[in-house]
Amino acid sequence: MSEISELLLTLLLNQGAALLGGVLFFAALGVPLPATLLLLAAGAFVRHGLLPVAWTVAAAWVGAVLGDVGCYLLGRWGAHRLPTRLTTGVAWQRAGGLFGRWGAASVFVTRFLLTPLALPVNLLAGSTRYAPTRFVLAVVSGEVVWVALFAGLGYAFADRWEWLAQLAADLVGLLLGVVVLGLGVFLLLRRAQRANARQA
Amino acid sequence: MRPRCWRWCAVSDRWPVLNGWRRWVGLGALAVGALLIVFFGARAWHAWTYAQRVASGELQVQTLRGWMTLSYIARVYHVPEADLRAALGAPASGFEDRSLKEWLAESGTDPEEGRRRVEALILKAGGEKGVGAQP
Repeated sequence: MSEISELLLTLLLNQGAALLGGVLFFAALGVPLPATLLLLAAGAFVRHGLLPVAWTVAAAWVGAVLGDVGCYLLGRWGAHRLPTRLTTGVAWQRAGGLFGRWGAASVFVTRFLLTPLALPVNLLAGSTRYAPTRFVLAVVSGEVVWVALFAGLGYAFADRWEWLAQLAADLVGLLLGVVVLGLGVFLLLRRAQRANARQA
Repeated sequence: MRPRCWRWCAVSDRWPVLNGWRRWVGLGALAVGALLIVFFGARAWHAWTYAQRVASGELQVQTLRGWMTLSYIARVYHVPEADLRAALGAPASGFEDRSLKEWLAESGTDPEEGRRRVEALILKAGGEKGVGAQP
């Protein structure tokens, strides 16, 4: 376990739910902090009676949601700083159209399943001016699942949450690998179909 | 006129799928995806088998961590905090936010020796209660 993780765990024991909310907020903004580890630990600490359940869950959820919204706003603000020829280009418009179609699902899934993609998805949502209400709805529901899932696992397996955090990180990495591999297969298959169509 | 090429053109003529930018992105994604699967798959498998060995009693793991505060250890392992403070040569009260690592560094106690003292208390508390030392 890293020094920063150890320091944050001691701080979580001392400062409680407010610290958890703050860490999840900054983690959602892209600061490299061990958010999932802390959420699992918080679940275990609740089980041991060291943290109050309602405040812990509320702080985690509010911190994560506010961080995601802040990240979305950063993307939206950052898009204004990009050159106009880029943001009015065909590729940009296509990306915006694609995100408009799949945005809510991708925002929802990246909250709890493909968590390493949450930050780029937030920035993409903001920069392509994805509808704020739809973004917030997807974030709010996705973070409910994330907090319930990981804090719940920490609570249920309070005696081995450290091992569970390690396994969760590895499984998310494994899932990310499957998605990237699937993307590669998809692109090559699509290329093959187009080449065959041209030949025919 | 078609540019000159060597072996790759022969391959891409045979399989048009390997032409264009999607070729590189697709092949790159395949390679990165496979690497991620192998790396994280091996780690996940190791973590899983390690947990099985711990659960079966084949491996003994240290349950104390440097980030734990004395009040946390007292609560989770059912050891009186006063006994922990006495074992570590700490004052009877105050500095509740200090971690075990900080207490050991502050008192100049060897971390292994300090750990042994705390573990002895945990084992004693477990024996008195008739339960194991695991939280």
